[in-house]
Amino acid sequence: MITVNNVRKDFGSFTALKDVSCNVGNGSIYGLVGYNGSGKTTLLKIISGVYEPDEGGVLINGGMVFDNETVKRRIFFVPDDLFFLPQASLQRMARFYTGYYPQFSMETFHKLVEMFELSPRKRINGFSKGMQRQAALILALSARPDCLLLDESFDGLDPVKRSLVRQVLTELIVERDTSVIISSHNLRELEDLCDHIGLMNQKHIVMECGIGDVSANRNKFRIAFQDEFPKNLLDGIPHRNEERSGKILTFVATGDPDEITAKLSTFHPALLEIIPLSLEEVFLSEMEAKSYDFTDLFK
Amino acid sequence: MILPISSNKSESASVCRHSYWCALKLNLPIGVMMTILLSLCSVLPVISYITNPYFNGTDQYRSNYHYMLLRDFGPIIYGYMVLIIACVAGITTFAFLFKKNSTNLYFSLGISRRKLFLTRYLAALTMLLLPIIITLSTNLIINLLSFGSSLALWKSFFSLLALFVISAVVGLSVSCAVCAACGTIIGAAGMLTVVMIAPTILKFCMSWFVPAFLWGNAPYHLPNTLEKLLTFINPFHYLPYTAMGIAYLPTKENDTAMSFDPIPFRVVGTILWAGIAVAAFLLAFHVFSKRRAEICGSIHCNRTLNFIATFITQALGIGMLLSFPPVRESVPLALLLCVGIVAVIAVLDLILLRFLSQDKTVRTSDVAVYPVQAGIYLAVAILLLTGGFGYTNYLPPLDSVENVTISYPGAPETFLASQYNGYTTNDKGVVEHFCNTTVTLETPDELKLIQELHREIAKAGKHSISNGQYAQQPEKYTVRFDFEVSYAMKDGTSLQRTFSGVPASFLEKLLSIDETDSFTRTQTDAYQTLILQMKDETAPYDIFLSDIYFSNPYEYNASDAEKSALIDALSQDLAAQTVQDRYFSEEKALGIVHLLGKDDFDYYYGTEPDETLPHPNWDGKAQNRIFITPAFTHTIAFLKEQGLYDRLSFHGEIDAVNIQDYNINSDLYWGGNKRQYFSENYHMYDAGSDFDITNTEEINTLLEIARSTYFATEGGKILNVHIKDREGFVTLFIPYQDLPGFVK
Repeated sequence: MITVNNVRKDFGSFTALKDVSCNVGNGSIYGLVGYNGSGKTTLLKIISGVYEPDEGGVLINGGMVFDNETVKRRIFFVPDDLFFLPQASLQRMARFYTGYYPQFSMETFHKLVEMFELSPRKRINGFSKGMQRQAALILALSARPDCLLLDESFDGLDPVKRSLVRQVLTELIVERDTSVIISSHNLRELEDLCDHIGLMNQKHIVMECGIGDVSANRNKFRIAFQDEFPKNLLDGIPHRNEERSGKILTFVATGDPDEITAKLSTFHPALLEIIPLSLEEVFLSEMEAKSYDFTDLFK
Repeated sequence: MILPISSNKSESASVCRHSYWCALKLNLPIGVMMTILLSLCSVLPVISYITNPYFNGTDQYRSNYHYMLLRDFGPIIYGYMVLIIACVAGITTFAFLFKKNSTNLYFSLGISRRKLFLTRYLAALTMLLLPIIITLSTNLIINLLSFGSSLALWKSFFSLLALFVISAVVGLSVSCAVCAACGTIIGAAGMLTVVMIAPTILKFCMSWFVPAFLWGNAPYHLPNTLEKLLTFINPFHYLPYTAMGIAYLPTKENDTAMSFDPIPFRVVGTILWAGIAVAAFLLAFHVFSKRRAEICGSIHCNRTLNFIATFITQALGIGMLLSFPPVRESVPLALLLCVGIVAVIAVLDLILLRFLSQDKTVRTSDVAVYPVQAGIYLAVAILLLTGGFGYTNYLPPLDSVENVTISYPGAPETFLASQYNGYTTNDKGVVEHFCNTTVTLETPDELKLIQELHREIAKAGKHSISNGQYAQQPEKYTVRFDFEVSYAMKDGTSLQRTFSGVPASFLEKLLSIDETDSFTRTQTDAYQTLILQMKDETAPYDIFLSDIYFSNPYEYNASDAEKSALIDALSQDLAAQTVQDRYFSEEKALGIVHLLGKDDFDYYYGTEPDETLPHPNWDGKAQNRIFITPAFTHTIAFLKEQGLYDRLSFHGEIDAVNIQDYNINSDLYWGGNKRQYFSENYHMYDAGSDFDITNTEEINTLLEIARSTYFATEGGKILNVHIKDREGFVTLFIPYQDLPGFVK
């Protein structure tokens, strides 16, 4: 169980995280989503004990993380920017981690190496970027941690290996009840993999819920009228991302979809549809993505 | 399956062992390299000495040394290597701190910061200690086999071991602390360099800073306590030089041993350094455990280190600026430039490091340290200006003084050349013997006289060197003269003060030294010794008689008795000569008696008369020219009796002269006390080619008032005299008050 309590992190005069809280249960995969620079990596580094929070704290199974070696032996952090010892092979890195992670299993390691079809004796620096990421994941999974932190770890993996990693992760969770936090920009992937999602924006977690609840109260409505749009059509309906194209109006509304449908039906629209939101749409909706004018951009 | 989190000692020990071995492997190349380098400067020289066929065949080395654990300057090179390699090992061991990805790895590992530091530190230290132990033990075995066992050998072995282990711990700890406080490897290397050479820079700075503000101290002469302190805190000095004193033990018969002053093993100092080493380790431990991972890659350093680095940089700049005499000689200018250096570095810091770098971890408020640093320099300057806790005004009780030696501003030719206390080379490559002349006085009256002069100059305080050429008010005209006074105390200690830049009136008062018993006795003794040497035919001088232009020197080839009689007459006249006649003579000299050293000189007189004026080539010559005035009654009487008086007369023709300013504070003569006393014989002047005064009447007027020697504190002009049909020129001096209107 990972508990992040009111964490704040400053870098000099710049505040990277402010009052961030979240919980990740055992056997749960938590997806961390946010703009570039929203603080995802900083949060992961705090959870892994690399950074010390300026305020608040992180508990893993009840133990404070920062500089707590007993807790940290059960956490494995795979950062976006990977590091391997100079001239090291996978085998050497495995030996390196064996000493620091008592739960590291060479048996698991060998099985994974075989599964991912990587040479354990070749220099990792000679690997492609995707292979290096696979190597990092093999080492992380071989450590059999209670808490696995993956920062953009799926980037650079081919679809087959992505699928393989997903399966192995699922197996890890099933067998060891591991808590996993994954930060990624690939929202489609997170949607398939995670059971919880946290959306980070403006140094906060602005939304945190189960993957099934992501779009529960958010729906995209499409409505069209034969004639003019009624003036008070959206009055009293919390909504955003309103877009009008000809006679069709699209918007995302928050609230009970049946109530909203009933209210809209009173205007006798020619068309009224409810479309479930994808995670990406929820993300864009929550982040209130700006509309850009691309006209003449490359003229 | 989640296991309960609990502390497991064996698990922890296993992780620590693993961390230690990983770091040990990392440092293995350093250990190998260090073993090779240390062997080259320790084992190899000792073996080569002992196996040298010259010594080995006869076991001569045994009669030269009791033992030789390190040879010649080996301890210093060895000590430097240990310190430098320890610094490199520190950077290597903690280089992971300077990359974000490696920092992520190491700081997320299941080991606490403290244990991570300790294991890696110990691994690095192991790789530093092993080469020391291996090389010193090898030399110990060689010594046991060659010289045999002795208590002194074993003592030396363990002392050297202690000194070099301390060096390694200090170098490694400082390096680790700096690495833990810095964000980049370049920053760490730079900071480490600054920190390690900080004592050297501080000493350099203080050796100019203290004399600039503390009245009574000259450049490079720091107060003893400060000097000792700055030497002690320098690991590149104290530890290797202490090792130097015990690394080998020559026998009493061995006069070929290094002429390095043996330093007894300094137990207290070594224990203090052991304390410093422990403190440095604890500091590194603390800084590392508090290290913020986010400073990785940032130019940011911890504030204390920033303070030290900027302070030392300022010290270097201040030291360099104050080493220029015009800056050092003016207190307001020196103060202004000290603050200016701090301001310049503050501005550079603000612009380059803070605004241009855009580093978010850097706080602009950090520049608040600069006013503090400027305040420190100003506070120390004020402390020194107000007498340095009584340092300036301290006078030793006379009853505890054995004798006193002071710098002598007077006429050097009143001594024999063999008495001169040193020589230097002027800007024209000419050796001048007289600039460092000192006089030692010892009678109670003389000690009292000197102490009065000492008290007076201490009270006068520091003043900027005067710019004008003429000292119309000698008491307000500051001359660039280093007045050094050194008391030899009866308990064997000494007390020294140097006052740089004294009033012209004070210099004139110093001339009263010429009338002291010690001075005249020293002078007379020297001439009497010369007389004795004449009798033994070992006299080191030839005697020449000449006019004041040295235009036609006559070698006095008389009998030893006659030469002795002349020297005796000279000696009597010099002893009786008044200060007024010697330094402020109202009449020009009659001629010269020249004592010229016999050995090692080239004297061109007579061989190339058309190419040189009758000046001898001065290179390395022992020589005295005594300018005979009418007050030299005994000498004149002797010369007349011998029919030689006419040899002093000038029979040539002077066809042109020119006039030049004579500035006793000339920029050309920074270093020595040379310009106050004008003497034709020891300054080289550039007369230029334009001898513009050709009018006979004017020439005669000028020649009539020109002096060959004069104490020039009140200023005057140089008269360059050209002799008809001769190359070159002769230089004379005209006091300011005697100058005729047409040359003023």
